[in-house]
This record gives sequence, C-alpha cells and structure tokens, in this order.
Amino acid sequence: MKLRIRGVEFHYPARPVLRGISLEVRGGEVLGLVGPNGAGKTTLLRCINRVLRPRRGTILVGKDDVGKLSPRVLARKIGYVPQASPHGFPATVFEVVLLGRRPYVSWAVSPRDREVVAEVLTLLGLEKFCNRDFNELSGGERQKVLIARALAQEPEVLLLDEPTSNLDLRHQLEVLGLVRSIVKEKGMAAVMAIHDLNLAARFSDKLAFLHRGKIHDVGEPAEVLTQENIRSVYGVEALISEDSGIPYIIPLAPIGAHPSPLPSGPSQKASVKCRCD
Amino acid sequence: MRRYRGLVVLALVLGLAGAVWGMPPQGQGLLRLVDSAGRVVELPQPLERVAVLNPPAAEILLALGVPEAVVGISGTIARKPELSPYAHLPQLARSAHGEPDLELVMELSPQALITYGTHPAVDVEELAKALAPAAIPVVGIDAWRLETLHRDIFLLGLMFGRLERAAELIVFFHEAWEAALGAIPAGAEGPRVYAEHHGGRAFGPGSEWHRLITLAGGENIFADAPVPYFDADPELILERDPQVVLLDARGVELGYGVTDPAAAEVYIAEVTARPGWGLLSAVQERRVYLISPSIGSGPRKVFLLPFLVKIFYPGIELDPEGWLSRYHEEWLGVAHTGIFVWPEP
Amino acid sequence: MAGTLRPRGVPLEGLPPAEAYRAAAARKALFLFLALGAVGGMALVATAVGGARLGIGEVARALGARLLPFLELSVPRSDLAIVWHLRLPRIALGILAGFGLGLAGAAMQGALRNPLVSPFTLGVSAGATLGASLAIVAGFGLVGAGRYVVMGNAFLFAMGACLIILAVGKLRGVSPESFILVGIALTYLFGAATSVLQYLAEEGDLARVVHWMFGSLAGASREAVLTVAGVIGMAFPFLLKASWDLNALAQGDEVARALGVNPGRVRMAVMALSSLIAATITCFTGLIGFVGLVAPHIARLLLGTDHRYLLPGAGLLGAGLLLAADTVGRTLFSPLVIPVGIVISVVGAPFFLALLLRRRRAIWR
Repeated sequence: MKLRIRGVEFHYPARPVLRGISLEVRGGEVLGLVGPNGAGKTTLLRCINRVLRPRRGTILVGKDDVGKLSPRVLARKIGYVPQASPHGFPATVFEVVLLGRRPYVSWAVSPRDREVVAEVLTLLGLEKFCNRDFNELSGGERQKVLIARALAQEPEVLLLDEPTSNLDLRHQLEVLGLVRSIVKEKGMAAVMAIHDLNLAARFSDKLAFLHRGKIHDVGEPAEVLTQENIRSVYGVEALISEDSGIPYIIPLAPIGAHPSPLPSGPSQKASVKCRCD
Repeated sequence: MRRYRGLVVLALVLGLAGAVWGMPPQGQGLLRLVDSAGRVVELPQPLERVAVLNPPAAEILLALGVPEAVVGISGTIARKPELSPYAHLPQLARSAHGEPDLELVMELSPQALITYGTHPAVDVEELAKALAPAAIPVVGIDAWRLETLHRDIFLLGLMFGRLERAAELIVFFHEAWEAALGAIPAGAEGPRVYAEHHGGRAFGPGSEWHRLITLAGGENIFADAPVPYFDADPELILERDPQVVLLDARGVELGYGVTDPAAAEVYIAEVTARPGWGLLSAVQERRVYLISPSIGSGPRKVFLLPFLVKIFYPGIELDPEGWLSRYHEEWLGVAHTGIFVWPEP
Repeated sequence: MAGTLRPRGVPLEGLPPAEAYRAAAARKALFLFLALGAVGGMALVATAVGGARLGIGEVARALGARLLPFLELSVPRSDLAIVWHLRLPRIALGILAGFGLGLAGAAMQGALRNPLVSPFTLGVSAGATLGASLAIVAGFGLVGAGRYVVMGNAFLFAMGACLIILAVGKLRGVSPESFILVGIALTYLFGAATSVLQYLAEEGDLARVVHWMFGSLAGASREAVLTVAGVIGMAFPFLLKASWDLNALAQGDEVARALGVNPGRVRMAVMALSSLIAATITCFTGLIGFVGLVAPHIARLLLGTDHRYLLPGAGLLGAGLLLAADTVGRTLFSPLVIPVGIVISVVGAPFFLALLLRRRRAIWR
C-alpha cells in the first residue's frame, strides 16, 4: 500500500472542512477524487503533501509518516501538479522541469539530474520544447510540463489538482491517458482531484466521492457511479450508462427543478452513445 | 577705490531722484518708489507702523534709528540676539520665506509690509495680491545683496524720513571698505583660496563670495567654474592646493553672541579630516577659517571684506573687528559680543 | 533560452535536451566571467581618468609606488593622495555599491515574485532618508558622533523599517503582496515625517538633506569600502545558496512548498539580507535609486531567470552601471562633479524605457 490516509481532519479557522477522511491507494493505482466545489478536494491534497497541517489523523507514504518527514525529503516522495502556474518570469521548459530536482540538488546540477529531466521530457513528448519559453506554450503543453516537473521529483505518490480544467478535449484525453500509463508503469500511487465525473470514471482505477468533508463512497467507478450517489452528493438527477465497461453519466436536472430536455431524441432511457473516443 | 566713491554718489543721486519723484507735499500723502523687485509701490507717509519679515531690512531699520516704527516681525528676526530691540514684537511668520499668517497681518493692520524683493523663496507679487484687500502695500527691500545694499538703505531712509542717517550709514560702510582695500599691501600676491558653503558646495564666479575673494586680492581656485554654486571635484582641490580655505558656517554655532569656539573647532576638524586634505597648504599652515553667518550674509557682509583682507595678508594693520564693533554699538545699539571668524585672523 | 545568449554556430534546437542545457549553462558562466573582466577593465580606466591633470603614467607610478614598494618610485604626495585617497576608494565604493544594489534588487524581485520591487521597497530608502534628515535637521542621532551621526542614523532607521515589516509579516502572513503593501505604507509614513522635518528646516540644513538624497560617492573612504565589502561578502554566499529556493518561489508559493521549500522563511531571510545590503550602502552614499531596479532586469534579459546566474549577473551589471555613471559624472563637467544618483537617473531612465518598448514580449504579466 503506497498511500494510506487515516482519520484526517482539517479545520480552517472558522469552519471544519475535512472530517475523518480515510483512504488507501496502491502503487500503480489512480484514485479519482470527485465532489462538488467546496467539498474539500484541494484541501485534502494539500494535507497529503503537508502544505496544510491536519488537526488529526496520519498520512503514510509507504512506511513513512508524512508529518515526520522534512519538507525536502517529503518532496522526494510526493510530487504535486498544480492547477496552473502563475504567469511569471520567463523560463525554459527544461528549467521548469529541472526545478523538480530541487529536493535532490543543493547547488550544482549533476548529470543524473539532467538525465532524469531529459527522460521525463521524452516520456511526455516534450523534447522539442525543451528550450522554448514556458509561457509561450499552449495550455495543454504547459500542463504536461507541470506533470513532467512533478515526475522529475521521482516521487512515489503523485498528486494532481484539476489537471484538465483548462484544457481542450484532445489535451484532456492526452494528459489523463499519460498520467494513467505513467502511474502504472512506475508503480506510483496517484490521487487526482477532478470535477469532470466522466473523465474521472474513465481514467481512475478507484473513485472517491467527497461530500461535506467526508468520504461518501469509494470504490471502482462502475460500482460507485450510481444515481443515488449522484443524487446525494450533487443534488442532481442523472442517467448512468455504460460503454465498453466504462460508466458515464448524463446529468438531467437539479433535484426539485424541471428536467431539461435532452439534446437529441425524446427517449429518457439510457442508450445514448458516448462520443468521446 | 574711486569706483566706490562714484557708487556712493550715484546712490545718493538715485535716492534723491527717487525722493524727488515721489516726495509728496509736506507732512502727509503718498510716497511712490520702485522697490527691490522693480515694482512701483505707493506708501503712506509718514510710516509709523510697519511689519518687517526679513532680518536684513530689520537690521537696517535699527541702524537708521527707527525700530519703534516696526510693529510686527518674523520668527527669524526674533531669534537674532543682535536684533533684540524687536524681540518682544508679535511674530507674523516663521521666516520671510513662504507666506506669513495673513490673518495675523491683517489683524495687526500695519501701514506696509516689508520683505525680500528678489529672494527665490519669496513671491512678492502673490503676497501683495493677498494683502491688497486689506490695503496693506508690500514693499520688497532685499538688503541682503551687496550690489543693491546702498540703494536698499536709501529706500529705507526715504520711506522713514531718515535720508541723512541713511547717507551716513552708507558712508560708514564705504569707509570700512576703503580701509580694507587700502590695507592690501601694494604688489602683494594674494593666496589661492577655496571657499565652500554650508551645503558642501563650492563658490564659483557669479557668487558674491567669489567677488569678495577677488576684491580682497585672493585667487579662487575655481575661478574657471561655469556656475556660481556647484559640487567641486575633490581631486582638483588637492591638485590646486589652496593656501586659504573659507567655510560658510550656517548651521554651526558661531557668530553674534557665541563666545565658545568649540563647535567651530569640531566642524573645522571634520572638514580637515577629509581624505587627502592633510596635504593642503591651507591645512598645514592652519589657514582654514570658519565664517559665521552674522557676517556671511546680510548687511554685515560688508565687513566680510575687511576680514578676508586680514586673513589673506597676515600681519597687516587692519582691524575688522573694530569696524564691526562700531557698527554693533554705534549703529545697532547692541553690545559687541561674539566670535565672527574662527580662528581669529 | 530565456535570454539572448545564443551561440553563433550551434543551433540549440538540434541538440538533445541535456546537452542543450549544458551548453546554455556554460555560455552563461562565460558571460559572467567576461562581465567580471569588463568591470575590472572599467576600474582601470576609471583610475586613469579624473579632474586632476594626472596622465596615465603618473597614475601608474602612483599605483606602483604603493603596490611595488621595492621599485622605490618617487611620486609627489599629492599624486599619491589623489590616486589612493580619492580615486581608488571612490571606484571601489562604486563597484561595491553597484554590485550590492544589483544583487539585492535581483534577490528582492525573486523573493517577492515581482519585477517592480527594488532593494528599497521595504521602506529602506524612506527610513534612511528620515534618519539622515533627523540627524541633519534636528541634530537627533541615536548613535555615533560628528559626521557618523548621519550615517548611523540612516542605517538604523533603514533597518528599523525593514524589521517592522518583517515583524508584521510574521504576524499577518508572509505573502509577497502583504510585504509590498506594508512597505509602501511605511514609505509614506516615513516620507511624511521627513517632509515635516524639511518644512521646519533652516535653509542650510535643508540643502544638506537634499544633497544627501541625491546619492553620491563623495563620501568614499577606506572604512566605507571595507564595511560595504564586508556586508556584501557575508550576504552574497547566503543569497547564492538560496538561488534554487528563489527559482522555486517563482513558480508560486504552493509549488515551492511542494518542492520542499519554506516560502515564508526564504522570503524573510532574503528580504532581510537585501535590506541590510541596501541600508549599509545607503548610509555611505545616500539614495542611489534605479540601479537596484534596472540591473536585475537587464541581467534577466541576458541571462534568464535561474538565480544562480542572475544574482551575480545583476550584481556585476550594477557595478558596471554605477562605475560608469560616476566616472562620467566626475569628468564630464570638470571642475563640477555631478552626483552619481543624478547621472544614473538622467541616463538610465530613458534607456530603460527604450529597452522596455523595444521588447515586444512582456517580461511579466
């Protein structure tokens, strides 16, 4: 078990956000964290990599208690991919990814460091960008660079905060596909906070519903993606369907409101073909 | 020397001309004159209640014997011990710079307000406009520029009906100058001089100090400077090796009423400790002099010339202190006390 | 490459990533060496020129008389004094002050993630001005005697401002925005106090305060040079060591934390060191603005944003700028000396504007 979260509680000064979260993620597994805004997805991620200190609970990476590790050592174990990067001073893509080696570097850049960065760039198909200014890339390419940076940390655990929220359709699929295959290949445990349920269902090995600071349900997507869960967590009436073993949902209407008409055909039963391929 | 006699005559003529032009019929009416700022001003006669903001004008009025005509002053006048006869009067402003408290002035309701005419920090026109509603004319009488001192003295004499005394004062100043210039040994070569004012800047051609240094026979090492006040290159000071260094001492405790030279010593020590200054002839021969503000500016700058002559030609028969003490005692009517140049030449 | 150091022969795009990076890094290091050499060369030239009519030969003899005493050169004492007591200290202080301001500026910009800050942003300039004004106008000095009063006061008040800000940071949170805002507030506050002093000041004192604010190297002396060198020598290794942390900070506090950096601590340490450098320099030279803002910018254009190269690069550029400005200021209008702060502003501001207008790509948001 690569990542163990037990009984984590977190409060902001005014209000409690996470109450007794317990999760487990294996190596090679992607855990999709879903739930409405404000449910605490980002907060949980921040507790895992110790940006925030939980009031209660322990988080273990392998055998190590995250709370007891120094920030530097922790950064060697947990890689974090933020939602976006501030548009700041210009830097080359290589330099941005090289930052991921910071937990290992004190001053000079060793050949190993350069090797790791080059490897990671190749893995994500970014070699041709290595000397370009990071700010000049498109959103999708930038997101890949951020993932590359996290991977350059050679972590055991990968945390991703909304990796696809600013991406177009193609890049959404590319990025998530890459994450899934890399995580499997390297045996990392990944936790991905994501708000698109369908993408989450498709690219996660497990799904966890976070609702009002608690884990509402966790399990394989096919098991957990149910109408009742959607009803309780989102307050939405939805249709659940399946294609090639992958579940997908079609939201219909918020509970208590009139159902909005479907874009095609009058049938309300599930047989709408998914076009995302 | 002859130049100055001519100047005195010219000043007399100017003064009389102004007087004739503006002199009203006996006893009452208006006096019309042209002030230091070139403005035509009409003043009631006789003037018995005036406000004075600039110390040089106040000083001249004291010398002319009409201090009782002054009913309002400025803070700087009140703080000058040699102008003590005025000290008890109401203060209308902190100094002549900027604007006085207009309400206080109007409340006091003098017949006229005297201030600087051509000082950069004073806008006489604005002040006149501000006081016009109260019918208080503003007269600009500098009394701080040497080149217009005679005329200013005459204007004041004219305004207060003391023309004769004004003429005597001018003659007195003129005699002091004559004595100083006459004491310069014939054919003597004056020293190389470096003069610095309180901001740390050097005096160049166009400044009064430069003029006085040259008149006294000295050679300003920066006679080639293009401007009157500037930061001098310390390398050139070393290279040109002045034999006398003059420091304009505003901000250091020296002058009328100061009898302890300690502060002056400290300042001189600091200056002579500058890098490389130990090599200067002036420092080695101890000819670094601090000139007090009492004679560094204002009407008593007239006496700066005798002091400079005494500094430049050691051992000559000249008593600048004597002239100054006569001025203090016989003209201003105050005790002569204080150190005016340190070290004493 | 984020920077204009492109090689003539080898297109970077052709190289594999690791090699390309190494090549670029080597080029940056080369540039730094060349810059160091250039500053050294400028120092030699500056030693040879000046108001006094000393030819190069006489200057060389004056240098040799002290450096190579076995040659037993006879040199006029005034020449020795001019070269060793006036020119060399001034040149040394110019280089050190420029280096310090450039370095501190680059570090500050990195720590606060903002290209508009300078080493004076945390109220250091306002504090130093207030301290100097208090000493000059009110004769009120907390430390020192005689001419040291002004220096000591300037330093104390400058560091006082910095400490206030750091204390507020500890209490209220260490985001860049909060530091900058408090810095601005303090600048206004101290500025107001200074204005009051200036209003009440007599003519002579006022002139001295204004003169102090211009920023000049006229106060260069052995002690000034040694003190500034000491402070920079102590701070420089620390700042260099923090380069990686500054690189990480540029990506955001959250990311930096995820990479193992403590943003708050790094920020405070860097700001404290930068302010210390700036305060030390200021108490000897008065306010020399602009260098701390512009040298990092130009260095960034040439060297990119890796602080391991940027910090020394900004320092060297600052040194070169200040030395050039002072040399021009003291030779162009002889016998006048134009204070270096004025030369820098007059020449630098339009130059910087031109630089900004030419680059199409925004350097920041």
